Amino acid sequence: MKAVIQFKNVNKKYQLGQKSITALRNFSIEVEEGEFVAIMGRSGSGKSTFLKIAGTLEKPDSGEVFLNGREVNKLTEKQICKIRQKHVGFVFQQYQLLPEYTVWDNVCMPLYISHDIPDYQYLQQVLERVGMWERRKDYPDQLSGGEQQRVAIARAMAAKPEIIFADEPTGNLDYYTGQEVMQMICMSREIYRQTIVMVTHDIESANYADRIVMIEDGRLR
Amino acid sequence: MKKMNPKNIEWNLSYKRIKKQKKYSIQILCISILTCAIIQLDLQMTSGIIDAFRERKKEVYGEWERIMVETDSKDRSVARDNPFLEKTGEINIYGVLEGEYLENKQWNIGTMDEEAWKLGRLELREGNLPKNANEIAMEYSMLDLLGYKEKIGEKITLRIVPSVEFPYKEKPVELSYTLCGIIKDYQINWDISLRHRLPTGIVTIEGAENIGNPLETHMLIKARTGYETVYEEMEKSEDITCEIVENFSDGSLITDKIPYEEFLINIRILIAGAAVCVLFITISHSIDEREQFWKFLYALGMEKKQMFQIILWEAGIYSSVSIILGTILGVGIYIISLPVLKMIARLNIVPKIFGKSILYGILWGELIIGISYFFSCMRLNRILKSGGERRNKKIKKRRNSSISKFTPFSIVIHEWRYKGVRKIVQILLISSSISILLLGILEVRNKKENLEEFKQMTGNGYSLDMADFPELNGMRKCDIRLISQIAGVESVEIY
Repeated sequence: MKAVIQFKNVNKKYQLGQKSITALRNFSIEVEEGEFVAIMGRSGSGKSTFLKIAGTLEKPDSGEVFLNGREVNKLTEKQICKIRQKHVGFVFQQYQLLPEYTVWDNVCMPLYISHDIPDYQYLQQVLERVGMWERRKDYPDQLSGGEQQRVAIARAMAAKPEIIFADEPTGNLDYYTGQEVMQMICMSREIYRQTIVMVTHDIESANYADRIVMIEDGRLR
Repeated sequence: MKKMNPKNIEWNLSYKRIKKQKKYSIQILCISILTCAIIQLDLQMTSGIIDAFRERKKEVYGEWERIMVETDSKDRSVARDNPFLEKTGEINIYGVLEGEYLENKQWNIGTMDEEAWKLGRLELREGNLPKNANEIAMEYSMLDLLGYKEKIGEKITLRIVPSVEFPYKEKPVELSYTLCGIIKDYQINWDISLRHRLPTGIVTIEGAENIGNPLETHMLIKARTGYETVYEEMEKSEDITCEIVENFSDGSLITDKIPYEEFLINIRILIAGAAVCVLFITISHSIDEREQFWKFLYALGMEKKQMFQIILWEAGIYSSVSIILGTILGVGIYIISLPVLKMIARLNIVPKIFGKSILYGILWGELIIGISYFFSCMRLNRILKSGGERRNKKIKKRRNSSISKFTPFSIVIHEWRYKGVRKIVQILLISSSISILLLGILEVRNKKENLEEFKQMTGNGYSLDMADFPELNGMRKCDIRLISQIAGVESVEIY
């Protein structure tokens, strides 16, 4: 199985006034194609930093990061944007749905941004799978938290990405809704053969993963 | 369900945001509309004052800008065929009155065509221009000096020398004419413009032929607007052999500086600067507030240029609405406030809307809003660059924080790292605003005082400065007599 995500001795520091905080120290990890990895650790351990670097939202201070065999550091800004448009999907803790748009438009947003015409049949299938097809004309303020997160999952899948990054997707949900969301994530992975990297505090959610990775003080434990 | 065009996503995102952020939109529009209105008002006032000032100058100098002196037929033909000359007027001098003359200024008798009459801005006090060989229209003060009663229909006998050179080469001929028109006084302007080339007694061509052949033909010329370089070209041209002299060059009374112009320009710059600061603050604050929105779009793969396009659409919508409404408001206020402006400037400002001012107003509006949005975009750049970096949100205490508290500019530049520069810029901005206002008030007061002074002396704001003519030993009695003939002058004083 080929590695879709590779970190090799990645370091990342943040400047907080006069202080310098190390988020990742010589961090190395490989995630294989189709794998579901849960990243766990205390607050400030570097989980979100890892997710952001892996999702090309930030660049490391040193080390190498590979996505689908391509070294991210050597790519131009435009190429990185293309990767985020086509190959990567995000599920955020706060759902991040645009309140001015319907469910359908929110799901299609990654395609609109890349100026692609939505695949109507595929997206209908996705929405049906997450149980939101009937609600496609509704607005986010008409949905519950769980429903919004389901729409966010559908959005993450809209561009048929190979990798999905989920940042505490059940963080704002109750237990039962959280379980429903996790089931949907697993289902999408099985049907669409995606690689899932999820950051979570919740052990119940982490148990859905193939592998749990613990980060402590910027290192793998 | 209405399908959205993916290619319009930037426009769509911008439009939806504007609809959602009502308070912010109202704020931006209010500031922009007000700024555009004030700028437009300022520009219309400037144009109105300049226009009235030029019209007043024309009453003294005439509308012509150059005179071609002692032309031949080729000179005249070249001038008439020149496409860059808007107007040309022909004057033929047939002779000069025998007797007293003023330096090299003759009391000419001759003909003027209609265009020369208009360019000279001559006006009839009474009667009409001659229609046959027996009629003559004469300038008012010349009639008076000759001892006539200035009565239309009066018989006038003139001794005309068919020569313009002194000492006269030829003997005078005695001719009688019927006075058909009295021309308003323009002799006083001989010292400040080349009106000595104009005939003070106007006859028809048939009437002039009784005197003899035309001795001198002059042409008054005026260039089309924007083509004033034609005069230089004509002077260099080999096709023109005559002399071309500028109107109102030496001895001009009226300063060429337009009153209040500098003050109005300074106000415009001040308003523009203040508007840019306030708009920048508001727009930047809005961009900062939408940080999560920008980061979310970034995460979905939106490029920076697409995000700038969203802001550009927003700027476009606001600027279009503000400029249109601001222009209409500014023009409306200008028309309403014209009586007040006339009173302050003491100029006869015509109720006219200046198209050029509207165009400049639009450009100013675009510039102000464009600059504000441009600098605000830098904040977006910073948001995207910083990514997830935790920013130091502590605001360090500054020395002399009282300046920062009371100045709006501190919000604009509080993020600059260079404290010394920040303080200097604050002080510069405040002091320049105060200086502009003070200078403006001083200028307005000065202009008022000057005009009062001139008005006391001449009745129309003009004075004769004999210092420009050092070869003269003071004023002569005939000068004082001439000046005192001008309608509206109550007294003449030498100083």
